Amino acid sequence: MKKKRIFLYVFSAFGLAFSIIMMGQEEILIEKIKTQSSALKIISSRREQTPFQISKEDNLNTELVSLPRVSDLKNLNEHEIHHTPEIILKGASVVGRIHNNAEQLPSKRHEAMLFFKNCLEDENIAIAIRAVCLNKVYTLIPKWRIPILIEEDKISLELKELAKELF
Amino acid sequence: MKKIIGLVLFLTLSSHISAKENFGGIYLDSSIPKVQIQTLKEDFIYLYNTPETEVDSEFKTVFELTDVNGAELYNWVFNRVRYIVGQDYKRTGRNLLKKKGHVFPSTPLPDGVFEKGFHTYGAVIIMSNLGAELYLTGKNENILKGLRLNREEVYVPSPRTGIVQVGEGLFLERLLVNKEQNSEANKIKRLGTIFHEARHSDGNAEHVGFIHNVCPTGHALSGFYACESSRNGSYSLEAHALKMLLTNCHTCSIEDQTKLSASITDSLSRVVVRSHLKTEEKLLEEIEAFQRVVEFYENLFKTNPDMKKDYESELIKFQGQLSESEAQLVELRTPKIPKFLDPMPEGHFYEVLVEDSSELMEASLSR
Repeated sequence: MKKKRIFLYVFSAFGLAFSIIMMGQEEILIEKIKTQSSALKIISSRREQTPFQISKEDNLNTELVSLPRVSDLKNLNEHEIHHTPEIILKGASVVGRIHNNAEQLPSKRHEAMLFFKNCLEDENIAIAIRAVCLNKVYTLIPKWRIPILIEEDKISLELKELAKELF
Repeated sequence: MKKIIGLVLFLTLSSHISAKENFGGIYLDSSIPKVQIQTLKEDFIYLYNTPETEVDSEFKTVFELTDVNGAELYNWVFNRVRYIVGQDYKRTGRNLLKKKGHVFPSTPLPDGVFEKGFHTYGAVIIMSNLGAELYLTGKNENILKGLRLNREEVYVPSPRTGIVQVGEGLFLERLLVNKEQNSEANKIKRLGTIFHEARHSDGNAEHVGFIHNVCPTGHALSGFYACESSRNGSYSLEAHALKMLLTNCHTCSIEDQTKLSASITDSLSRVVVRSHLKTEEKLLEEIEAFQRVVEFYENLFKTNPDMKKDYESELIKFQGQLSESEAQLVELRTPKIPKFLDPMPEGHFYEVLVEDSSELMEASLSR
């Protein structure tokens, strides 16, 4: 009986020690991931000549979704469409704010550039807004020194011409 | 007692007469709220003070200007906007004038001219060119129309008479570029609208008034009278004016610039030369699909001639759709640029020189 109790205590102690070790390992792993992420960010910011991989799941998704769609324009009435509709101005306000924030905080520029790319490539967004986004990409690539890959098959000739009109 | 009544009447009449204003030669009706009048005055002053600006050749072509500066730009507007009335001005009853016996030019009216709507936002007016409307409806009915403005009878023998109505929509907070009503950005936005409406005072024959066209199939605004096919129509001019004024904006924030840029691209997106906006890929898909249907019916009739009488109409319908898609493909493959329409207005009007409109503005500024 005494032997059984000792065995139980030793076994429990081992179990506890093992848990502590594993938790420690997990924390180390988490720290490692964080360090690697920071390293990646530092590396990507240094590798300014190399285009970075784009993912639609990145930030500013909420703002992207708020931009006016072509279908929104079709739902307006005769009176609302004769001059620049309110939804276009609101969408432009979102784009402008993102640009302004990134202008003030350089750390936000990659995110902003990604937003502009996603905006201009989305064929469901109103063309007036897409053209503004494309123009921002044209002007900010050399200014912010951020290269970006644009999917050419998503940009019509009309869109390009509209964007160039803003030069 | 009679003296008191007389005095009250005199004061009432005096205040009514003096409620209208004349600024820079432009009549500002008493139906315009005072705060809007003040805003409009400041907008015109801002325009008049535009410095000499380098612009591209397209700007000079569409505006027919050799120099681009405040005096020239103000003169351009002044020659097309001489009277401004407010949203509450009633264009009916005693205010609407009609005169028979006027001889209009024997030129055709634009297509679909009476199907387009007003430039309003919801239930409020942004801005509307009443002069063009009165001229066109008058020409259609062969009656010279006009408006009673204060005690003056203003007939419209040409859209260049230049009567424009402004409303709450032009100053609506939701449609402003920023929250400051009299900021540079908002002046620029309103001036863009003024240039747009001023353009409706021009044109002759089929394009008198530079009436908007129906936006074609495939356009975001398809079915609406909110497009144009010329390179010097209202939307083009509005875009050029906004772009030019934006280059001189000293206080426009990045957000302001972005919103004004969106107005520019929105206006230019309405300049459409083709009857459709389908891509080549889409048209080729359509053509292939319709060709298969046509071939099916043709083969069906060969093997079952008795079915022809029931289904021939279907074959004709699909042949028509196939032809339409093929024609649209040919149109797409043929390069087209927007045409330049002769802006010379028809009817009787008088043109004011730059020196004279500047003198009128200087006189107002010195008051």
